[in-house]
Amino acid sequence: MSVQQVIFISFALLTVFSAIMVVSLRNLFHAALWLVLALLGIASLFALLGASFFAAVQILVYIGAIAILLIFAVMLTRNIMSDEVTQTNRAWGLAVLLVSVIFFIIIGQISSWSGFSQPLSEFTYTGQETILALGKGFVSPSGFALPFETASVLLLAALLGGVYIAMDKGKE
Amino acid sequence: MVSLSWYLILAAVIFLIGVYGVIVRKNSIAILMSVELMLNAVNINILAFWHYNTQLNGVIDVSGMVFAAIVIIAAAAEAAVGLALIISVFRRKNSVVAAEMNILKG
Repeated sequence: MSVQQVIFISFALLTVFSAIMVVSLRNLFHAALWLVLALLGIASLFALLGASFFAAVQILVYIGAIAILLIFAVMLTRNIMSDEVTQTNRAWGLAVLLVSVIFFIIIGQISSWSGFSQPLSEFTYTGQETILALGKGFVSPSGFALPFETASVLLLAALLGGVYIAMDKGKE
Repeated sequence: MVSLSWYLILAAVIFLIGVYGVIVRKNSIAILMSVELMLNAVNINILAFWHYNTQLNGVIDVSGMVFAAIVIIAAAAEAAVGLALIISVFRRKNSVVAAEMNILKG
């Protein structure tokens, strides 16, 4: 087994274990902390894929912003659902069955594709080259300039909408 | 060498763990956390195929990276609006349980 395979398997096991803890723990605050670990594992998988920009963005955006936002929301609403109450509804057995059936359907479908077991070789590009290509693609009008600008408008709208929805209107 | 199938299977596993969380969890913040897991699994898939396509064609594939960036942007917008909605419902009903959010029911 090569070094890359060992690294992949250890990070994959870490990520899957943390993901299972996220959906199964009773204490939501601990679940949020396990989510941070899962996101970190996914960031290292991005780095393993040669997408160094996305590994950095994953840490900045997901761990730095989204996970902190989730932790804030957990703390703001904490006293309502105590940790002793069961956190899952009655359908969990059915959900496990459904999820495993879907898993075998997905794997059965994609394993018949010829490129399925294609080995991914190491990139000969440096990290800067891929980031340069992404930046050029984002600003060139023949590339993705319009989706990029639309995405910034979407983020602005989400920011304003989030502030407006969460505003306390009763105290004026 | 790590092959493409490893990434695809891992992404399927993480996505389905997220699906399980969305179906099973009562607390709406926990449901949002599971949605984040699902979006991350999609990003693993996109970037694995981006790597595959780049090594197949010999040029850096830009559209795969753009797709992954758009997914991250959508996830950020979804988390902001979703948590604002949860805080708003919490103010009104003093509850974050998804089954009790029934104000819109006719």
